[in-house]
Amino acid sequence: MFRRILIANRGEIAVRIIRACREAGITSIAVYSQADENSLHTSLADESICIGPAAPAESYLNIPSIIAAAEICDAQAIHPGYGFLAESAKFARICRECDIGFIGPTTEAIALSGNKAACREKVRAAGVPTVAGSDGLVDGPGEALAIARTIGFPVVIKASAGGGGKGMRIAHNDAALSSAVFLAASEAQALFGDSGVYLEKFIENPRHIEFQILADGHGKTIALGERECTIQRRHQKLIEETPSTALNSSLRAEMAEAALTVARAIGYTNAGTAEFLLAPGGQFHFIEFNARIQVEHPVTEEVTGIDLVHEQIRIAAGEPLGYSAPRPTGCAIEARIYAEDPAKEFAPCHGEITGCHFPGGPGIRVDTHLFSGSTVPPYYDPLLAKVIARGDNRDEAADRLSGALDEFIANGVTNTAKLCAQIIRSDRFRRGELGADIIEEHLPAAR
Amino acid sequence: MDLDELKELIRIFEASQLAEVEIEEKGRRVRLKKTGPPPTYAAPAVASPIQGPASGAQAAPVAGQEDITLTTIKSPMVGTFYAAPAPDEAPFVYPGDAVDENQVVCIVEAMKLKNEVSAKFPAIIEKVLVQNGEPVEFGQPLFVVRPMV
Repeated sequence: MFRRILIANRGEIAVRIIRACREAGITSIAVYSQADENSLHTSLADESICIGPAAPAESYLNIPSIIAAAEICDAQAIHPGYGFLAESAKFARICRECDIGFIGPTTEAIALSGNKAACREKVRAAGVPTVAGSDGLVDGPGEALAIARTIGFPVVIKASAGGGGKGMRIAHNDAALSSAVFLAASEAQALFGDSGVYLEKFIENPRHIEFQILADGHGKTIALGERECTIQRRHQKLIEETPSTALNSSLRAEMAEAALTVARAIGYTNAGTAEFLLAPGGQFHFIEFNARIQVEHPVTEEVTGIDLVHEQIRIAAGEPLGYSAPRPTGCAIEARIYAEDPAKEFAPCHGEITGCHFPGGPGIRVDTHLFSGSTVPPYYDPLLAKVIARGDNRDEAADRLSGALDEFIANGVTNTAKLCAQIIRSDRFRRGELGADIIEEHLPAAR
Repeated sequence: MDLDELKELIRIFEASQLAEVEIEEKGRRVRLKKTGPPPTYAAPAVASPIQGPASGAQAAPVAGQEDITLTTIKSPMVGTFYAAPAPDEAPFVYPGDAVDENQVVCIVEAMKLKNEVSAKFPAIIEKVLVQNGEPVEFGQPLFVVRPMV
């Protein structure tokens, strides 16, 4: 087992990983940019080291600085968190070359998961349903048109090196298609350095269902249940829950089996997530695999009792899982509190947290890096906190979460707590009729 | 201003961050001035394997020094500090040396790559703050120097 782990991240996930290390008696080493000098993860870790100025490229994305920090601090392993370098195959490879453990999957698995077109092909070859579309990358507007005519409009053009909704364009007809292909490819080149795009049928009003996977290095892979992530805005999730109201037990079992097949086809180890779209007609389709711990991992932890970050560390240290997938009990719902103003098109906010108060009580968990007097810098993603409620059933979890969100205070920065509370109280949410438009319905009221 | 008002003014002033206050009213003037350094907030305790003060502004005066004409050369990166180009060679600089802006003053090594650190402005080396082979973090002061104008 590792004795010293460096956390190559910041904010709430760095705090989460530090806590897992603390519980396991592992020395935690934080790295921080100058903008995060007084941040919670910096002071909570056993040791901390400044690695650069505020800009992510010069700090949290700076591979030589992070490796140098690991070397001079004698870190045995690095946990990359999510975002930043978590899905950088290059970073994973360099860690291994420098004899530093990488707490995550193999370099090859990261590379394959990150190549969305190739991953799709691999998964399809393994017999898992994927969305109808191109065989791998699209050669140009001509091929795109031929495929679109076969599968029918609307279609979506996706960047192969993208993911999470980045670098996607929808085309509703022939005329729009070739410019959509061109624009998607240019954006992909600019954002990811890779202009490869692939095509899929656009599924209207899908439910976003993802399955948590844990796989050890000894051949055992388990699926830990699903998370319903349909409540999103511009591909940014806002509210997640488990179990999903859209699944009955046989569909759940089928999708869990598909998720396992996906993980095995990729050769995946450590914690990861298989994402599916569930069409209104009840057919499910694999869309992508996320080779990292996810933001919404707490809802799975709350219903399974498994500490996913701890398991990541154990698996990376070579330990076998040692158990089969437990049966989840109860329901958990998470609300993400972003430093964004719902009344202003979710414009990001930054500044000083002049006062904060976090809810508590039975079934309430708050994962955050905020404290009174902390600053929310403008350089990084705007996630402030996650408020998670657990209950014996969905209504109990929702009642607890609405109360908790009402109690949540983070003054100084406009945030999404009230909006989340309104959505969770709404009749539509309570009936489980989730859709991507549920957020829009509550925007005027949040003002 | 009567005595009670003056006492209140002193109380408010003492509790404030201000170092000096002057008030003129109806031909009478009151000036209050604090002796000693202004109050500062205690930073949260940070345990670090790196010996040395935390990073600060680029050309800030060295904390605790009386002479405000001194400043520091800070490490531009994380890594290991080396005072000389090679183990058996003489250090790049000694205290008392004058350096020009492009002169190399030390090496910070990271991931097997040796990065030369130059002075960035003409100065006289006053003090070397770190030992040869010591790990350093980004922004850590390496040398106390007296800039030459």
